[in-house]
Amino acid sequence: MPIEELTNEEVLQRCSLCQTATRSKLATLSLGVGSTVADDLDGRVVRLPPCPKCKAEEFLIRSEVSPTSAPSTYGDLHRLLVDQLHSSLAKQGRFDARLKKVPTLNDLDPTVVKTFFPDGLKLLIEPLEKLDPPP
Amino acid sequence: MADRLDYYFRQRVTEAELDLGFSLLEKALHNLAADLRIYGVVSGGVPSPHSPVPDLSVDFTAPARAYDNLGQRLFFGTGQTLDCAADLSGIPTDVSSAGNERWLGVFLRFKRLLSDPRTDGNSQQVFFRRDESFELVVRQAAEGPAGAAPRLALQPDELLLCDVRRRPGQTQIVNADLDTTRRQAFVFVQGSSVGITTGTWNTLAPASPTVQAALDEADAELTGHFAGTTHRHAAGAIDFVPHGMVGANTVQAAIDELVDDLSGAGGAAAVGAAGVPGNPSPLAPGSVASQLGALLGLINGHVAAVSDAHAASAISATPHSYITTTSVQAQLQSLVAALADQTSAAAGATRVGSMAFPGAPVALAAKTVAGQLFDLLTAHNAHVNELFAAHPAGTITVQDAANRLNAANTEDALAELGAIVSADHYRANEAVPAGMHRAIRQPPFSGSTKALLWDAQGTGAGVARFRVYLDGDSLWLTMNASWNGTMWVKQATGNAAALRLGRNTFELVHEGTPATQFALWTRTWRLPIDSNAVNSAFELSGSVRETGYCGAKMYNPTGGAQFMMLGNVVNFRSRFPAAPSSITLAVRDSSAGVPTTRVQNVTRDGFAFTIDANVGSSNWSYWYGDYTAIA
Repeated sequence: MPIEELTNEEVLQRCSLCQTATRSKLATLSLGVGSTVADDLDGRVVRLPPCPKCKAEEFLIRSEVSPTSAPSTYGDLHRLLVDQLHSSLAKQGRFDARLKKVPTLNDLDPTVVKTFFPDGLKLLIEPLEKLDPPP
Repeated sequence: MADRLDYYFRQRVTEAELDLGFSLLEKALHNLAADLRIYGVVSGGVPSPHSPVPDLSVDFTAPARAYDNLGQRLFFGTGQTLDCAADLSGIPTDVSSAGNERWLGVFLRFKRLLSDPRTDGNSQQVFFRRDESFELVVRQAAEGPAGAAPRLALQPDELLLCDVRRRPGQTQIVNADLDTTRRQAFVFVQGSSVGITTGTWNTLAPASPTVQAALDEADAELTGHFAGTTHRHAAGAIDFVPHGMVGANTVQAAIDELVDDLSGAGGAAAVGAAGVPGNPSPLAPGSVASQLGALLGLINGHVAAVSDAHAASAISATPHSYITTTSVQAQLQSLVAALADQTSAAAGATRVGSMAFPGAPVALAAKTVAGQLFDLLTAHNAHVNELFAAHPAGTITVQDAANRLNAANTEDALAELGAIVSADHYRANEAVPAGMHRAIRQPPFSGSTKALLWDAQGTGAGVARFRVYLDGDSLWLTMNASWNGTMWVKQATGNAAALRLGRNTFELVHEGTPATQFALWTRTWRLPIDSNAVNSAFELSGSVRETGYCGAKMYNPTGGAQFMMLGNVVNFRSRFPAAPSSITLAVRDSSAGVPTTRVQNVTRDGFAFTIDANVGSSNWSYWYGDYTAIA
């Protein structure tokens, strides 16, 4: 259930199970996933609302290392979108209050955005690979 | 001159006697005219189309005077107009058929004009005056074809003034319709009745001394002169006015001078000549001499020409043998065609003879080229069809232009090749089927970072082209990919894949972009196999998507409801290139109170999976589902 588009206000995700598209306001999202137990919190994960049709839940995990400046796969590009989502939520103060340290995240390099997202932060599935037709 | 009546004294004269006196006198006058043969139209009576507007009438001029054959005088003092639309009998003179014509005759004849009526002693009315008068009459001839219609005969007591032509549909008589050639003009006296004196005449010698005979003689002489049969002029008696280069003053002298001048060396130069158009060589205006000179130059130039003197098609040639055409061009073409002919009946080789060629074991008799070729072919085929011992292999030279052999003849070359083949193949005289490989040994290849060992096309599909490469560390088995020294190149449009076996690594690679050549594979499954690295799972690179199964189940054995939490770890089947950016959990089965699921502590090898829920006493809570990880 990857995300296909990211704006300043919302994120568009498509369910990988039932292909249902769902838009979620950034104001409804936050950094950090954990239970009510005090120390049970992972600040590198964002939980997206369940798919309204099949109830599948997607967790978006930002990268641990600096994103590549030359993404070559769909996975690279999706990771850039996820990192930008985390950065946007952090800037808007959308994170779990139990986080001991507010993460400092950077926006994507404008050159990378201009090169790989010329029409905005949009990403269709598997743009760099084209599967052969079945024999 | 006239018969007389002698009226006597106291004669009682009767009417007849008085009339007889006038008659005798009138007869004497008429006889005088008849004796002198005076007759014809003296003057006037000339016809012309009716004026002012022509119609079918003819006008005649006045005054007109004439005498008929009886010596009767005919006279009219005013102009006359005669309607020619009908003849004197009232019959129309029209022409009925197209292409025909009709001739009319307009005649003048004598007529008495009676006047001054009186009553005689017998109470009879008589005319005291009987004046001489005239009458114009129209007679018509038969209609006939235009130009051949007959004309009327002359009338004995009438004088013809003119002939008039009628045409089909005619409404006007014009000058062209009036013909006066037969008009009976006035004749005063017959020439045969007038004498002449010929004593001093030099040329004319009339048959009799009369005007008629003299005129006949003059006519005969002139006719002979004009016809050139008699009394021709001597050229020396004809004057000539000197002109140009001729200075003589008689025709004879002028001709002599002209002949002498023209027959001399300068004669041709004295004769002018107009320009003569022509192609390719016209003649410019000048003299005969200048044009002869120009022609001589053209002819000499043509005769001396060494090329392009004539088109071969303009040179005639006599047919000969099988060449039946009649010009050099056509015969040459026929000859070429005959020599190029490939039909069995008339092939060109049958047209060319050849002498005998001695030789052994084959000699050629003198024949046509076709015959000798046939003999040669027969001998050659017989040689080629030899089943045994056509040549000793040791006598057949091996050319070896590419310098691949050490041997110089077929026997040695076969032995050399046999040695090469038998090194790694079974021979036909061995137990194993001939040609099967023994070990395949290859020397070091140079010139590439990857040496191509095997290139197989299978069933011919480009995407299935299979190659085996060996580089300094790895063996590559590729599908739809070849190595050009720096890049991988796809054989055909489509994805490519390879299997790489290195000394420390086993790797599956895939290229799925539209690129036709590439340096790096877009997706790899890498399995380190040396002992110094993780070697229990494939390490993936490129775009990775994995779906697996996970879940947890917990039981509350206590006597009251409890908030319970359970966690475990999910291991990915392969090692991701990095921690996935997305993990989706899709439930397959869960307890009624669906526990909350979480993903935490994500790494490239897996993630932590937890569920929590409020579980009733002695109750279960569980969640089973699929995870989908994208990296």
